[in-house]
Amino acid sequence: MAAKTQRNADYIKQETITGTVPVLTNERQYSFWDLFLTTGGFSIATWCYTQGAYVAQYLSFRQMLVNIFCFNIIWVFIECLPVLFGVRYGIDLWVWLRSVLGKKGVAILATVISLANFGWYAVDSQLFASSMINLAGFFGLSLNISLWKPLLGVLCVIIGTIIALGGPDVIKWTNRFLVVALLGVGVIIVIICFTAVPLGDMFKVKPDTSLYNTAAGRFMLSAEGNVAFAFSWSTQALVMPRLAKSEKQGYWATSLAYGVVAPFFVAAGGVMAIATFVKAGYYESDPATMLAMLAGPGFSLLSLLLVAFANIGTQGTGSYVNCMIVKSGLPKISYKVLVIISMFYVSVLTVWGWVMDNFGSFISLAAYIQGPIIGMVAVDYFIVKKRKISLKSLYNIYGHNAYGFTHGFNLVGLACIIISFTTCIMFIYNPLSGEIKSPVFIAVTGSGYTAICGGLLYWIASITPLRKYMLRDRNELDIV
Amino acid sequence: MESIEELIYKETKSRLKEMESKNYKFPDQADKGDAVKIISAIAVCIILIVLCMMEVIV
Repeated sequence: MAAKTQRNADYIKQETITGTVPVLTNERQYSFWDLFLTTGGFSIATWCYTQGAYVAQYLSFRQMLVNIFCFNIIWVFIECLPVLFGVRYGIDLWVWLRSVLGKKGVAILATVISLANFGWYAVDSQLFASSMINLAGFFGLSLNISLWKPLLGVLCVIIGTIIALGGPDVIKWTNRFLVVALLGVGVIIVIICFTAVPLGDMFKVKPDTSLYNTAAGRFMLSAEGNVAFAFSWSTQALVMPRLAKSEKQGYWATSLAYGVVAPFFVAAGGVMAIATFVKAGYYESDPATMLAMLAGPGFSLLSLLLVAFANIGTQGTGSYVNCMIVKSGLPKISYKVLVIISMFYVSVLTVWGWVMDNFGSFISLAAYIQGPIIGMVAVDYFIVKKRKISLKSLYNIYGHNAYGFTHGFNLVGLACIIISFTTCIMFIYNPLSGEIKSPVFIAVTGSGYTAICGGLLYWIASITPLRKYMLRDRNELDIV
Repeated sequence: MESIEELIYKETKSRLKEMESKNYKFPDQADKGDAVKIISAIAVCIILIVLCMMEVIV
């Protein structure tokens, strides 16, 4: 009996940190630095360098830095505002979203978005594999790409899975070491770039103007990638903060990690790409190759640290975060089972390679689903619900069903997502064809449009008779 | 014998009850200073973006 009681207690503890049970104030594990380093570790992966190298081709040096940092800061600072309720109530975004999308709506969208998010980790694993093969080449070891690329990619997934199975405590300790090392490496890389190539030469590089026929158009097409990059964190960003000790710590740790640290590495990738262009006449996106070109093969070990640790750490944290997202919609499934299933799924994506081959389209399409959710959550939290929610209805406590909607679907919320997504592709910007269809794109980018459209539609619905359908919880705000 | 779902339901209900009590201390909240910092950062970024689009920053 005592053993059963202990098992139950252990299970509850597990379901608090790897499930959806609210985390009480006295159970919070993460200080500012813990959350900042864990979130930073999650965000730093070699995809940052790929993103930076992509942007570097089309913008001048100064414009590249403004584009990378400013679009990320704007959108990350906005999309992280719901961290405030995550910390206050010890819940994640997807629990709140039961009141915006309905319980079944959350189950479907959480699963769809996680399936899309896992594409990032396939990119991550492929970059890990490519960099390892390049590194081996620098040391005279020639590896068969068709054999070793999938093998090394899957290895990255497996090691990350082992970290994820350890849960947030293992992740916290892994990232305490990892992120400090990576930040140091990032600074060293920037110093190498500025010493290997004169700064004046980097300023003089003329960007490729083939992307679009106007400067504003090129600037905003590059911004599309950065906004989509910023949006990619949104649905994942608000899982960890429920473990933070205060709202201030939770907000700033999350927003600075995604909004400043990750863009710093994107910018480092851009600076490296421009430096290699000055030195070799072409743009390169693999950090291991760039470092060897700029500083010699001896620095390849630095890139080993950079690539291996960054990507594996990201795999681990990313697996935890996205399995938690799926679990918020399907709470009965065991966390560890989800982690193992995701390991197989990401391995298949890694070996297949579609996501990497269509990177730009992939990040925009994923952002077009996340964008409306960002807009709707901000409007819902601050304007519609005025920062108050019925936790009892969120958790379906007996007698509380304010968020039942239509058979578990909030048709208004779901309609906002569908309308934003389709109108963007049809009238604003099509990421599959790369076609700009409206001057609205030049003002806000396609991804930005979906967030603004989603939020605006949701707000408009809340001032019509639909408000009665959307807001049924005002009589049961017992916990505020 | 309780199922896992019943166990989680009971635990969640108990925690919500604790959060509802007057003695429960929520985590410290963000304040107006944080709002000022957020708005200022966003405003500065928008200005820099506009300057780039106007090719003042090249």
